[in-house]
Amino acid sequence: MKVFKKKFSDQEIIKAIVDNQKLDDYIKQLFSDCFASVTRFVGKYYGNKEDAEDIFQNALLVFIDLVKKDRFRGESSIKTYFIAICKHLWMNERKKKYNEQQREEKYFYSQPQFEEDVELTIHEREKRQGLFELFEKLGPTCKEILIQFYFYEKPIKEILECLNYENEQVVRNKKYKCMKKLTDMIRNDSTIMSAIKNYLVS
Amino acid sequence: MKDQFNFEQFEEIESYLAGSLSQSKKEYFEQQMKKNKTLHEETSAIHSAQQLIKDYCYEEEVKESFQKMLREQDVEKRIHFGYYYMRLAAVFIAGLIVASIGIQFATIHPQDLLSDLQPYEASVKRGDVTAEASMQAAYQEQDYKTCLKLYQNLEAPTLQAQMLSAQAHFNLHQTRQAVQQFQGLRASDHVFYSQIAEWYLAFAYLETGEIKEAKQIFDSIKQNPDHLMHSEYSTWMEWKLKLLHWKS
Repeated sequence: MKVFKKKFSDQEIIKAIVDNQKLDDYIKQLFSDCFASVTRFVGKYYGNKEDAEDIFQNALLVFIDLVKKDRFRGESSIKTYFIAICKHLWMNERKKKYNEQQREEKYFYSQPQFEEDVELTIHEREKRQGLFELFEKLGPTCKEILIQFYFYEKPIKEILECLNYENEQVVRNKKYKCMKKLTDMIRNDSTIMSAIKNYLVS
Repeated sequence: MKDQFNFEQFEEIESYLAGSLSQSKKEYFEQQMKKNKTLHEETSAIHSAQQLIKDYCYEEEVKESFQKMLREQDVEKRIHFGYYYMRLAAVFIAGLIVASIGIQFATIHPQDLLSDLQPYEASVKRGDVTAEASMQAAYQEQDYKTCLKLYQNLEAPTLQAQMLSAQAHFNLHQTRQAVQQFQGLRASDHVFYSQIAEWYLAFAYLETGEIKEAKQIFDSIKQNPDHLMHSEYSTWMEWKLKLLHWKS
C-alpha cells in the first residue's frame, strides 16, 4: 500500500472540518495514520477488515461532529483520539450485536470527559439519522433542488439551467413546496422535533 | 395555523435566516416572532430543515470521499500485487534460464555437436571400373578400411579421392590423419573441396578436443555468407560451441 506522506497538522485538520472543506486528503492522512491500529483492534475482538472499514467511516462522522460541536479539546493528538473513538464504537457494536458484557477495563483512552462526549455525540447522531431518513423520503427532484440551493448555494438561475425548468419562478415555487413538505414532516414527528431543539432560533 | 404561511412569508423567513433583511425589517421580524409563536416555530422549522440538508450533504460527501479512497487503495493494492507476481514470474523464468544454462554448461561435450554432423556422401558413376570408382563404392558401403587401402594404390589421387580418404579416416576415428588430409584439401584452390574440407576439419578439431581451432573455423564460416556450409551452421550449434569454448 502506498504510504501517504503526512501533510497536515492537527490544527489544519480541525480548521478544515470547522470550515466545511473537502476532506479527501485529510481522510487519506487519517486512514494512513490510524487504519492499521483500528484493524488490529477490531481483529482482536473478532471483527474483520470490512468491520474495520465500517467502524472507521462511522468514527470519521462522529469525529467530525465532535470537532464541530467543539467537544474535541485537543488534550491528545487527533490520531490517539480518533483511534479511541474507533475502539469505543467497535466495543459498542459488539455489545449491541452479540449482547457482550461491557468490559470494566478502560482499554483505550484516559481522558474522563471522552466517553461522555462520544456517547452524547453518538446519541445525537442516531437522532439525526431519523431526520436524514425524512429528507430521503422527499423524492429525487425535491432532494436535488434543495441540495443545489442550500448545500452548493447555487443561484436559482443556475438550478433552472441544470434541471430544465420553464422559468425561475417555477423553481422558486418548487423549492417552496419541497421545503414545506420537509418542515411539515419534521413538525409532524414529535421525536424528531425534540431532536432538533438545538437548531432552534433563539 | 400552518396554512397561513404562504410563499411570500416563506421567502421572508428565508431572507431573515440568510441575514439579507434590512436592519429595520429584521428588528420588526424579530418583534413579530416574539409575539407570534407560530411564526417562531415556522422559522425554527425552516432553519432546522436548512441545517439538516447541509448536514446530510456534508455527511454524504465524507462517506463518498472515504469510499472513493477505499476503492483507490484497493486498485493500488491490486496493481501492487500484479507487479509482485510479475516480478516473481520474471525471477522464476530467469532462474529457469540460469539453471538450464548451468545444466547445459555442466553436461556439454564435443560429441553433442558431432552428433549433428551429416556424413559426407560420395556419388558412384555406373559402369566406372577405375580404382577411384571402387574406392567410392567402398566408402558408400561404409567399408572405410577398404576405401583407405584402395586410396593407397592410387598413383595420382584426385581431390575427390583425397576427400574420401579424409572422410574414411574421420569415420574410423583416425582423427590425426583426417585433420592432416582436411588441412591439405582446405588449402586447395577448388572452392567446393576447400570449403567442404574446412567444415569437416572443424568437426575433426572438436573430436581431438581442439575447441579453440574449431571455433575459429566455425566463426569464419559464420562470417562468410557465400560459404557452402554457412546455412548449416545454426544458432543452436553456435551456442553449444560457445559453451564448449567457455568450458575449455
